[in-house]
Amino acid sequence: MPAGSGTGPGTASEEWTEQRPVDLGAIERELEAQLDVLGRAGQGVVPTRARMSNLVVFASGEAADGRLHESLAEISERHPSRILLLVRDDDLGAEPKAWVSALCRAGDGGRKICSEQVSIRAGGEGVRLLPSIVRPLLVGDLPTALWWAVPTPPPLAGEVFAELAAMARRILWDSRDWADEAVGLRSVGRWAEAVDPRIGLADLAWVRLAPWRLAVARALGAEAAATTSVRVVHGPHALPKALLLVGWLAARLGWRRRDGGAITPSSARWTLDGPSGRDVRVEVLRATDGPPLLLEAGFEVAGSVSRVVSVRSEPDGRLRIDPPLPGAEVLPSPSGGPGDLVARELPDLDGDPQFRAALAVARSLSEDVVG
Amino acid sequence: MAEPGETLLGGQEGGPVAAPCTLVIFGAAGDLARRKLVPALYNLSLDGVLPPSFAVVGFARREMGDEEFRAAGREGVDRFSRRVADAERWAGFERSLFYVTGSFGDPAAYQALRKRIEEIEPGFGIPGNRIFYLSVPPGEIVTCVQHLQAAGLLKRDAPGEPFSRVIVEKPIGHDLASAREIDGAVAAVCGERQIFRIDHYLGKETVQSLLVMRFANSIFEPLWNQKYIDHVQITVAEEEGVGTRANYYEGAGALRDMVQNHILQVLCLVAMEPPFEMTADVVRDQKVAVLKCLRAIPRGEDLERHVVRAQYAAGFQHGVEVPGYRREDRVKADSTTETYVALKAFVDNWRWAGVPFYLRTGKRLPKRASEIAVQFKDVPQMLFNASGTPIEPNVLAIRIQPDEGLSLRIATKLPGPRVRIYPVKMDFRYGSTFGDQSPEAYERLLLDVMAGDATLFMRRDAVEASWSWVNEILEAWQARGSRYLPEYPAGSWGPVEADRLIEADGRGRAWRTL
Repeated sequence: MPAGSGTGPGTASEEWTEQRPVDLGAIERELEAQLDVLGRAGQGVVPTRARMSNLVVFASGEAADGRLHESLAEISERHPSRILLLVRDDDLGAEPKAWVSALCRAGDGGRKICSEQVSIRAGGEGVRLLPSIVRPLLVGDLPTALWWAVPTPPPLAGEVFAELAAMARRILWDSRDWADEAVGLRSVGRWAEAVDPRIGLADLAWVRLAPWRLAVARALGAEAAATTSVRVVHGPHALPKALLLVGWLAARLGWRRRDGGAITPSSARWTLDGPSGRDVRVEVLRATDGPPLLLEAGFEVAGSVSRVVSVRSEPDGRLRIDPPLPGAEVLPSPSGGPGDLVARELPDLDGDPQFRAALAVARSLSEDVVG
Repeated sequence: MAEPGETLLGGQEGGPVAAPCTLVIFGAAGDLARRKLVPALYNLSLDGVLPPSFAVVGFARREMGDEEFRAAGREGVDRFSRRVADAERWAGFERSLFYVTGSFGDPAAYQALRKRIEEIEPGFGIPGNRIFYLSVPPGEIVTCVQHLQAAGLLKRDAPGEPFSRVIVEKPIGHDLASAREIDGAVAAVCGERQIFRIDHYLGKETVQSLLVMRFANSIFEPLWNQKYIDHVQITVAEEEGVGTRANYYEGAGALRDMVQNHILQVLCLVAMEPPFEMTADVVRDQKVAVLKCLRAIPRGEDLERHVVRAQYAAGFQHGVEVPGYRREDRVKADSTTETYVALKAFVDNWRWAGVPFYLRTGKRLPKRASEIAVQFKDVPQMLFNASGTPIEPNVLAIRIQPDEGLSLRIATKLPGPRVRIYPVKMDFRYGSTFGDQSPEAYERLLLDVMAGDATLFMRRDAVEASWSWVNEILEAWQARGSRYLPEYPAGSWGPVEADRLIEADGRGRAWRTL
């Protein structure tokens, strides 16, 4: 039985109903029965069924037993969805097994507001059966999002990802956990270029970059177009973030890659052509240890008086702009666990239009650093 | 003959008023009787709407006595009725169930049937009114009707005489010519008002409610035309494969099995003009008018842009591997029978000019779901979608089965400081709102036959008009041969060719995920 049965880890007012095992062909019926039971427990007041999306989550066994469950509770509260949690669990055997439950919280007037979750676990060959189980469980007229919550870059995951992605209007993944980030970024970038532009794509690493982009935009101000060099220092497993930051700047400021590539296993340099013919030098460095975060981004800006500005991550996670800007030298820390980030992304059906452009540049840079 | 009570109640106070009668079920040993008809009659008896003078006589080839027929009926109620059988109520009900063994082609069997009916009716106070439910293969309808006439059981209604009525199951014929032949043979024996061509879809609550939704609400009808509607989708999705019906289905296919009757009847209700009164012939006149406006499907190279047929291949459903159609029992290994069809139809009249009706049906789709979806046109590209990001269009979706109800998709602002548009679904579900389960379609339809109300039944001209349109497609397929029949994996929503059919029209159109 999966983790999270019984009362759940959400806030005090939230409660998971007991996860009940169910036949694969009877999932819908069992969900109805659970809500019916909740209604009877509430003296005939039918619980309000809240659902804004279908959210398909593909996870691995270890992750699903831990923080993922908390993330799903957070998502359910902020963006109530029919959650279809698919877990690759090689200890279980090939035959998929399913459980259903509902997460309920108190609403106005003593009503219960519930959202539903179906957990399906399969191992080995059983994983390829999962799309056929998901397809009939999607609620019509609700947008479907796929959160690819395993550390395999989606396009490298094969047919199961392709089948699930074909059902989705929104596709989310997290490059932070990839083993080979450059290869992952290259494969995701190539794949994304072929994805229907109506599908909203997001790497949670990009979502985490939001405070960085704000800080960099403030630090460079009106002189951003005069930038002549960029130097980004990142911790282990944060190469995609660094390249996405550079990619975002390049896409916004019209820089085109001219040449460059890896210098050492932990550093790379490029020269990009700026729109006014000025060279832009880009350097990306990986720190030997530390958290999987961006640590520092430094910029040289030409002008009547050349200047150097930087954005640095403080030990408490907040971002410091140097030289300080009046009233904005320190910006809030990049927040949030995966649940927060996913909940923030789900309402934007089309995704951030700047992401695809940033990813395209990051992909082209990643080609130079693939070992 | 006016039904008792009809004059005073006028069919208004308590719904249809059923006349005392004997219901004779041909094919009473079959699945339909056990799963649908007997449970429907039992539920009508629980609701107290069956006439007090009422009897059921089963008639089929299988050797069986009254007691065995009653036991089979009880088993059907236990398994398939929407209400559990109550011992006392069942005991009262089953006293009106009888059975006669006989072959449909044997004149002596009809004499025996007549004799048995004449023995039963006086005991129940039935004045000789009879309804013959022909749950038999299409090829046996004419035989049954002619033998009924020869035995004196079926004749044209005359004033002051007991009535006799015939219920005929779809499909009526397998093409236009055979439908005309059947209709002609039946018409030679009884009048059109005595014939009830049943399509159980028309008895479903949501289908009946469609006219109420359109004509009892002021907000929909002003928008119900080509000015505001982008397109309509009608889907009848079956989760099951061909199962045990291969003998029938091999000669029929999805077009004949679903489109010619269910889907075109539903299309008529969506597209018809308001009738000036809710009487059978006025409503049916409007439905026939829709069928007559259906644009003929083009032949030649354009055919595939309007019709796609396909067959299911092996695939997975609910995590279980299922065989392709050609590997099913009693299906030919080289069968070219379509198990899926998608069409683009146009109703060429003022109201619907240029509005495509996308129709699809198939077996081994991901779930059992039937739906009518009316998609409205996009809002002008300014204000909230000025940047070019489209807003999801409004869709009114009427769910026929399961989970009967309707929903309206609207765009709304997400709570928060930013203006973010999100599609939400306003949902009405019969089950949640009215609590009790809706009556089964057969309950309403059987009651209507007893009351003589043919509004929900197909008239001869409607059957022939729909066959006439479908025949064009059948002939076009025949002319092209079966050199290429697309496939779709079992458990998917259909072939890529069907996706192309709708997507080729642009405007972001796509089949809905149900």
